[in-house]
Amino acid sequence: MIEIKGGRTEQFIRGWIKTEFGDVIPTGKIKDVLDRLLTQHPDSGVSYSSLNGTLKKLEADGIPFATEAVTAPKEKIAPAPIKFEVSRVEDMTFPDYQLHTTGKMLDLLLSDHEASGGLYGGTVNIVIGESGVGKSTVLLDLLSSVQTKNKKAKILYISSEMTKNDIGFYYKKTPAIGRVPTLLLMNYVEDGTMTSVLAQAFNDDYDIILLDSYQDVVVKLMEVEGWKSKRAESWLTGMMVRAAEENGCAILAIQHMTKGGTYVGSTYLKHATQAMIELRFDLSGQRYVEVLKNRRGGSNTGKRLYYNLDAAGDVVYDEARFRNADEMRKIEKAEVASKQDLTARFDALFQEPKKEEEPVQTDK
Amino acid sequence: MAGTIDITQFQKMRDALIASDTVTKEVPLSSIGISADSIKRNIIEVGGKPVAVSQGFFMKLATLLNMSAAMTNQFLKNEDGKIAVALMNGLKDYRSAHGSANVLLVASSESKSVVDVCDPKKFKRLSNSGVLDIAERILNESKLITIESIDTNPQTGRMVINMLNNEEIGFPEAGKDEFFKFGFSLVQAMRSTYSEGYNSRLVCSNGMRASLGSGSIGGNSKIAFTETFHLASGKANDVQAFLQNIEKARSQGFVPPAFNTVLTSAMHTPASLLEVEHSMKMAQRLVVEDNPDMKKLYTDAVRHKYFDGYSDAMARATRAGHDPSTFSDRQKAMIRSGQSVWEVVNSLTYLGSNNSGIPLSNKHDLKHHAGVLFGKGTQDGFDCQNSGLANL
Repeated sequence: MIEIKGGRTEQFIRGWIKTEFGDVIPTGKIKDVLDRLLTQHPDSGVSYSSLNGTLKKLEADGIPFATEAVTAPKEKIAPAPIKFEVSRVEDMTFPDYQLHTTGKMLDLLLSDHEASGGLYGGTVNIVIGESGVGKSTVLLDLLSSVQTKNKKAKILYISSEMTKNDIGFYYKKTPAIGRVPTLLLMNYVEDGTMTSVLAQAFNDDYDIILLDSYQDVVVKLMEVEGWKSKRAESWLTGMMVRAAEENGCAILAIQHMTKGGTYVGSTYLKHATQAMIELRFDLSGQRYVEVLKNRRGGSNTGKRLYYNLDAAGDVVYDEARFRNADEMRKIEKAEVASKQDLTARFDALFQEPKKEEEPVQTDK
Repeated sequence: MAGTIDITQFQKMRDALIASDTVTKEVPLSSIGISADSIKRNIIEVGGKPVAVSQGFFMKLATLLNMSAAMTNQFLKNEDGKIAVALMNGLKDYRSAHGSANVLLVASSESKSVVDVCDPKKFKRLSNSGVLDIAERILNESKLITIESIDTNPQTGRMVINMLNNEEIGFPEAGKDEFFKFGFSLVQAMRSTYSEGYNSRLVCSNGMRASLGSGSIGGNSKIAFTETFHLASGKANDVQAFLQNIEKARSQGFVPPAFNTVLTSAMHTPASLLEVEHSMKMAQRLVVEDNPDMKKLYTDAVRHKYFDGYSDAMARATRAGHDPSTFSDRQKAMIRSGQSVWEVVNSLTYLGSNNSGIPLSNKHDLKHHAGVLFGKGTQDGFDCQNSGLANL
């Protein structure tokens, strides 16, 4: 007699066999048995190896084999048709997303379609950077500056890593954070409401949300909800994308880097977002911010904007250096064009041989 | 083009300077053909088409092919048929060693001939347009720097932009009227772009090009006048590094720390017969005059008016019973002329910077020669600087 025992999947398989075939081991190809099981229970998550393992255990328990072999189901159940919409881009309607400016050089790095530059609403921006480079400080300065320029802007800083005391210490070092509405996610971990709080915050009508940090929230979701990392990532990314698309929110999500200094997130996150911003130390230890990818950005990707953190905790951008590097690039571009022109002029110079010249006998 | 050139004039000159730039093309070595009479007719074949070349081209080609310079020179001087055979063989050898390597041909728009051939990797020259952009940027960045002059040589495509800092610096030890302005030159040489120091003696507006001393940059007391800042390429990082070097030099006022010492030494050291002769002959070679009688008048004027120390030394040697025409360079370096090194330097810079009434071609090269002579004072010294040591 088949006993219902083992892990969750094994218990499910044993139960299904008992119901489907009685107290015998189904015979025939394992694949055909699996197809029959999955046709009935497509979401069961039973794999070939788990079925095979359970069948072997049943054999070891002394369960007899069925006399009739299982055959492949003749007709697979067709999945229900999914409705999808195809429309011409010109027929689509687009919201007039806001452009948030700080009045600092960083604006031009974030976009340059408008002369002012700035951070577009309706975008998800991943911010990566080495430890200690000042990711939180730079982004909090950005929020604070936007708020100073536009009092009506509704901004939110979500910190998943800091406790109230941590933030208090940080506030002393970086007074700019004082003006920024802050949500400390740590307060909602223990009572298990973190996921709902997060979902509510993203569904609200914030203009800008800074999430610090994406990876830490993923880990907390895994712990609180018992999700696997892929599910947690997918849930969080999906929510950020929806908040941007549907509410016009500009999202800045800090993401960690590996110890080797490379991006740690999934490819899905990379492709689902509008911009990838990197903060780094150069070889001489100076800090810079660089936009690696920017679907709203225009021409300033790949350019380094150097910055310093002054004694008052403010971020000071080196505008002169940025403009100077830009000038250098212009000279480089012009030089490439000049070299091409010189080659064209070489050809023109010797296009027609002089009349008195005779062809020369050559030895190659 | 002497005098201060303002930004408006500079903009107007741009087109002409860009048009006079040397033109270049990278071609496979296998596309170059040489025939038996190529050298006599100054023509080679590139990709099957005849192309005019300058007289110096074959020497450059021989150098590229690693042929003996002395032998090549000898063959070329005698228009010896052997050189054509040697070059043809050299081309074959080079092709077998380097396969389908490319070479860079450099042509003069003025003479419509190829004047140089080299390995493209060794060609570190920016376009005139690029250098003018850099000069303009320097002018925009520092309002105290002005363009004093732009020297050009249409035959070689050489272009030198001489820039000066506005500050006048005096050297009382050398004389109460000795005031100078210091700066730098952006030099477009045949194969490279670089900067070297430039200064102008205000009392007679004489310009002199001498390489920047390393001491003027790093505070090193062991300065040499031989340091130049090369612009490796037109890439943004290289341009930036180059401009940073200029900026460092500017922060020091472009004054080599040893300038005062060398100036004093040049004023008090007699130029050797060799130093005067080299300088004089260089100036005389630049005299342009078709009429032989007039040409002699001009070359004599160069000798008597600007390098009179030469005649003085030659006369003394003759009076002492020597035949000076038999002196070797080493012997000439030991004979004091009647001019100081500073006077010789000034004669060169005057002829190079001002309208002396003597028709000279490429007279701007004299500014560089003056700088080289002056720079000797920072290295082994002028020829007669340490002559007193013989009495020890």
